[in-house]
Amino acid sequence: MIEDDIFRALADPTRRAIFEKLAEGSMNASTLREGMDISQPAMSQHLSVLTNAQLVRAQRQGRFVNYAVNPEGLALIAQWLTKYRAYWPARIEDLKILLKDMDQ
Amino acid sequence: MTEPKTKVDVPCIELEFDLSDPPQKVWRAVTIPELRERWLPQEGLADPDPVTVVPGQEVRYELRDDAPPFLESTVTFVLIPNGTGGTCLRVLHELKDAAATQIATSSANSNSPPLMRAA
Repeated sequence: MIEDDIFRALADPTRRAIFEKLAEGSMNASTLREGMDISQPAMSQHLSVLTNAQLVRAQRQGRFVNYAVNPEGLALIAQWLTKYRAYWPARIEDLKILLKDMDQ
Repeated sequence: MTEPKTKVDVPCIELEFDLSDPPQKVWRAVTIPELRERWLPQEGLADPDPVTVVPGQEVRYELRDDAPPFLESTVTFVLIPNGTGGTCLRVLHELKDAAATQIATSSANSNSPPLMRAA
């Protein structure tokens, strides 16, 4: 079942971080590794899990392979969930600032 | 184990925040447009007016994602007194049926060629 694959793929914090990066735009494996403490083989392994779960799509461009969030199906839901799971805590931080500024 | 639970079938996000301010005050921040705008800007909403309101307790807004495929959803803010004078603010964010159907349809057609090709 592909849904199981998706949520298993995203249960790993490193893979979730990779998926979050790709949700912001496509990039190749070495760009993805920037700022992450992860070896090249480990990155390949994670990308292969994400690709098999159809969350991520690989596309060869010249010498490089570009990775992007799969624009179809359940990957969209995962992308939506990823985005808004980060969105709400940030909004609530702003709400707390507002509440401090407000009169009782 | 510590991950927030997310339902798979009806995609939704359910979060709870504990605020030290009383529900009446949080209610104003969540419903008065000028105040709401300062933490939940209109750009994130499909409509700046709430869809449903249960005064003092519950308010629901519609959202439209700002990126393709512009998925539509609703967010419900539920205010519950937390017992120490503050507020438990529950945020329930759900994809609309139409959006879920759209995704299901595109999943069913996942053998079709990609809609977008890299330029």
